[in-house]
Amino acid sequence: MSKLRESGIDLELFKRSATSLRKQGMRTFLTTLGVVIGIAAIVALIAVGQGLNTSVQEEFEKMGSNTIIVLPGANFTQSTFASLEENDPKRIESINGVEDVFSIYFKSKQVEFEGVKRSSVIMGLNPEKQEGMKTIGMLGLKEGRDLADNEKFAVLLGERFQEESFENDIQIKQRLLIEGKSYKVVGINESGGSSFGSMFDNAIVMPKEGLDEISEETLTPFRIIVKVYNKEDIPDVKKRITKVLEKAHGEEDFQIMTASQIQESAGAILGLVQAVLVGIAAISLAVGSIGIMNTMFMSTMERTREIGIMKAIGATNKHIRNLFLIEAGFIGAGGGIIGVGIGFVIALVVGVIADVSGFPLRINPDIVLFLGAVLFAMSVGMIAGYIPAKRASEMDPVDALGHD
Amino acid sequence: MKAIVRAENVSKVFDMGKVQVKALDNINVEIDEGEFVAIMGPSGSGKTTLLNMLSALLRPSAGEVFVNNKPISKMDDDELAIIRGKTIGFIFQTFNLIPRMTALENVMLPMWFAGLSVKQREERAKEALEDVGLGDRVDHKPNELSGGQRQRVAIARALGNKPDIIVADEPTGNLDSKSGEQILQIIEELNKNGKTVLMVTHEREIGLRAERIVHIKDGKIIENEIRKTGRRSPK
Ligand SMILES: Nc1ncnc2c1ncn2[C@@H]1O[C@H](COP(=O)(O)OP(=O)(O)O)[C@@H](O)[C@H]1O
Ligand SMILES: [Mg+2]
Repeated sequence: MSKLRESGIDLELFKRSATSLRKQGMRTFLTTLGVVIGIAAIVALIAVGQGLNTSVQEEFEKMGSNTIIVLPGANFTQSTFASLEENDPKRIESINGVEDVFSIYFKSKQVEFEGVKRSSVIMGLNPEKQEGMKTIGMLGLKEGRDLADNEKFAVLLGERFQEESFENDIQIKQRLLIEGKSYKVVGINESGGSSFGSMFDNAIVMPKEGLDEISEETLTPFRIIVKVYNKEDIPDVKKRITKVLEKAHGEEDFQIMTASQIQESAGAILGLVQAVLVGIAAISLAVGSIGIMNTMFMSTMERTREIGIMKAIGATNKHIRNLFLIEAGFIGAGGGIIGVGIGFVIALVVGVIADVSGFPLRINPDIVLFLGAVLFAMSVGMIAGYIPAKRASEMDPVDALGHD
Repeated sequence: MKAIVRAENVSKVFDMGKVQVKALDNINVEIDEGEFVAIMGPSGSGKTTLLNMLSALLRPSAGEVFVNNKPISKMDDDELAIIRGKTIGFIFQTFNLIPRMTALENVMLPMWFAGLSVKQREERAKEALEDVGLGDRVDHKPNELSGGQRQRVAIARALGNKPDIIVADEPTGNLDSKSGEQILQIIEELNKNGKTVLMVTHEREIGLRAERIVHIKDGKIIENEIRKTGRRSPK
């Protein structure tokens, strides 16, 4: 302690510099707050947007984006009660441009495992079509094997169903009781990230014929997934399917969904979110630039004498202007850097929330975005600082020095 | 004899809105190369205004000021700034150093405005600080220096661009007599080595250090007092 004092360093010195730094820091921080918020909003927006784009694209890649989904009912509310017709898959199969047709059947039944009963979703499919369904990502075995062609008492389980339905995970070769009959688990269908994968995720999958027997009726399709040869043909094929089914049913009591429609609605939601964020960003940046402008005006006023000195010893107007412009640019860039950090954290949080709610959203750091945002913030600072800097540069040197 | 600065029928009127202050009234004066001239007069007589006029800080309201034979009244701000930076070295009563900058940085500043390289700036600034006896104070901020030391930093700053003339407005006005004397000695030394010096003072004692005293009152030159002659070697 005494050594410190001898060397001229005492606590007061530290305290003084700390308070002065804090004061300056606070002022600069407040100045940049608007820029911080604006840039954070922009970065979060773009990062989430990019993530969403990647996810949607991946989804469609898995789905092949060459598929069309047919579901019963003229609209969503009706789809639970309405049904397609037994022959619809056959009708669609013969349509020009259609490569393959996969029908999915649905029933809810009590299922018993280790003495515990639970109401469960059972999906039926045509075992012959399993390979085809794998090509568009509808199926993907994690363990075990496919259903064999005429195997009535075998089932596949969705990964989530396997893990979460009963107290213990259900293992391959174990048996489930449905309507008093025993079914052997032969394979586990992995969760994957695709919308089709999640269709089976919490379900038992069995051959359609087996499901008909349990239901004691011939089920009509719950969904028909149509794979086309060329995705360019999707609009045409969609029209043809509509025409064929309308003719057969006598009315349009079904819906047809395509990847582009899903993409459109995702785009619409994203667009809305973007509009809101762009609004926030614009407002904060405007407020932020006013803040920077004000700080720069104060700064030039406080440093009037300094400006006078510099002009007296040979600074041109441009020198002075650039000094203040650069300072404003630094304030902007500082706010930008903080904003990029906060924005990216927000994007990561959104990503985690989306993930938890079952929508995979990959947020990746993007150096171009980060640098771009900081440069943008810097330009905002410089634009906001331009008028104060120009005013400062045009001060009369004698007036600025003050006559003493 | 070559005139470094010259005023021809110069008047300066400050327009204060309601009143107009005539600070200079038809001034004719010439500072020749190598001279040490003092401008003397009572407070408010127009000394500072005349000095500012002769050093391209102000434009005349009427008449013309020539710096190295170039008329300045029609020059734009930047042309004047360049003349100030390269031709004139300023020493102010209140030192006018930039508080945030070290002695070295202060001295380097005008050389930066004049476009010298960092290396040149640093070399010359260190040399200039050594010349005024502050070689060991280069990294000190102004508030870590005494008044006399600050004024010596200011002198070093004035010399950086090797100006044709040093102008000093009451350079000892804020100093005790001992440091004031040091400053005057440095200025005299500079003049002995060939630098032209123009100094404003209201103290006769200090004015007497110059070889010529221009007396001014109410904005008019009332006397041109020649003190010493013959020392100057004609070029
Ligand atoms: N920038 C200015 N604006 C208005 N009046 C000024 C200005 N500078 C000087 N004056 C006036 O001009 C006169 C001369 O001032 P100055 O040259 O500073 O005198 P000195 O340096 O001899 O004390 C004074 O009346 C002063 O008030
Ligand atoms: Mg004065």
